[in-house]
Amino acid sequence: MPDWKKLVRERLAMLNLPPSAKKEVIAELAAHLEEIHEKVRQTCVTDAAAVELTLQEIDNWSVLARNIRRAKSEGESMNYRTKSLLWPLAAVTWLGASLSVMVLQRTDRLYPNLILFYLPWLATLPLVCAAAAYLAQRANPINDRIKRLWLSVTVTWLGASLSLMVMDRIDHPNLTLRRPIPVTFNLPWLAMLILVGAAGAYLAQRADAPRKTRLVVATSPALLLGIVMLLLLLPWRFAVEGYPWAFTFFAIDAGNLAVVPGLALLLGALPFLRQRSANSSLLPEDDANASMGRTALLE
Amino acid sequence: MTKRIRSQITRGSAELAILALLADQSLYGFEIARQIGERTNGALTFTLASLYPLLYEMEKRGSVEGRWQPNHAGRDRRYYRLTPAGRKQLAPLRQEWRAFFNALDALAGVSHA
Repeated sequence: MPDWKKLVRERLAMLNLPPSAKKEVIAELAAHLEEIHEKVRQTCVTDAAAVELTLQEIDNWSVLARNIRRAKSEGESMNYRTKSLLWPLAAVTWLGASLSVMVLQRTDRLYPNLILFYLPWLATLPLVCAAAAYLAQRANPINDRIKRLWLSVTVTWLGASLSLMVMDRIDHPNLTLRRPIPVTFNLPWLAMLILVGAAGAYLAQRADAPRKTRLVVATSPALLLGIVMLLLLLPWRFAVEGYPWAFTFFAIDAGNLAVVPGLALLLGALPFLRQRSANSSLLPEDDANASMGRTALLE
Repeated sequence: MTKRIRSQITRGSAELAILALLADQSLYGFEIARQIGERTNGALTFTLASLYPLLYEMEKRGSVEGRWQPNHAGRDRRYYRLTPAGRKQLAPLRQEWRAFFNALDALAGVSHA
């Protein structure tokens, strides 16, 4: 009798699943083949003939591997390796970029040139990749939905922070309002935020996120900044400037960094808030076609 | 018949067969395939390649859940049982199929053919 586990493992080598899930699938299929083999062995003269008959259960191992992966995953087109590497990479990149912005904003005199300004950030990329590789190994417990939403959140955050970094470094027209309170708006940044909001909402829609989640994802940089400002900046302003200036300065900061950017992000997201999510129908066409691509369920 | 309709019928009938079978008892893959074949006198048969992707998909959707336990011969097998969600799904699914066959019968007289 052949070693069914070894045989299944070899033939399903292309099956892209987390190691524990793959091991379980191999054990289960091997057990199934073993029982079929025992059954057909009773009617076959030789063991080789029984093995051959048993293996007729599977026409095409590649198709089986693809169908199992599709059945086990949540309908994504990317394979496990890509997913497990991409999302932690994106998450860590975002974190790295955000922290770099905070640190580098303090080093204007050291890096007056725009290209030089980015060098330290680029230098952190190997570290970012190393951290991503480590996180990828631990990616299994994160479910696919969270992993998918990471992309949209990451794109929104990276877009918002990187565009601010760039726009802070170059000359561009500003819009200054003097009443009711004097505020200067960074117009090119706001224009870019419209695109960033659109990208975030679009990716969240592709991840089959409901409308509310798409809205939160697209406006998340402004929302979070608003919350942080409310919790940290307002008390600090009170401590330093006292009433009523604290409210005035807070209103300027909040308007400039949270409310107006939030509106720009929302504007970009609007087209993707109207449409329903991509996969919300009960039996989407792709899924139905995918079913046909598999071996027939009932023969 | 378009590909889409045909695939939905095939998929739906296979799911109904598994849900109905697991409503009575927990079974592992080989037993599910064997019992479906036996109970339908071989009219419906599952191969390994057709059974497991469907079982995994149903498990992902929460209709069934699998658990390793020894079978009557003491070998570890992954037994599937119906979840409360799967049990809820079964009655309307049966009703849908009954309506479908009635409609087909009215149209083509399939039950008396």
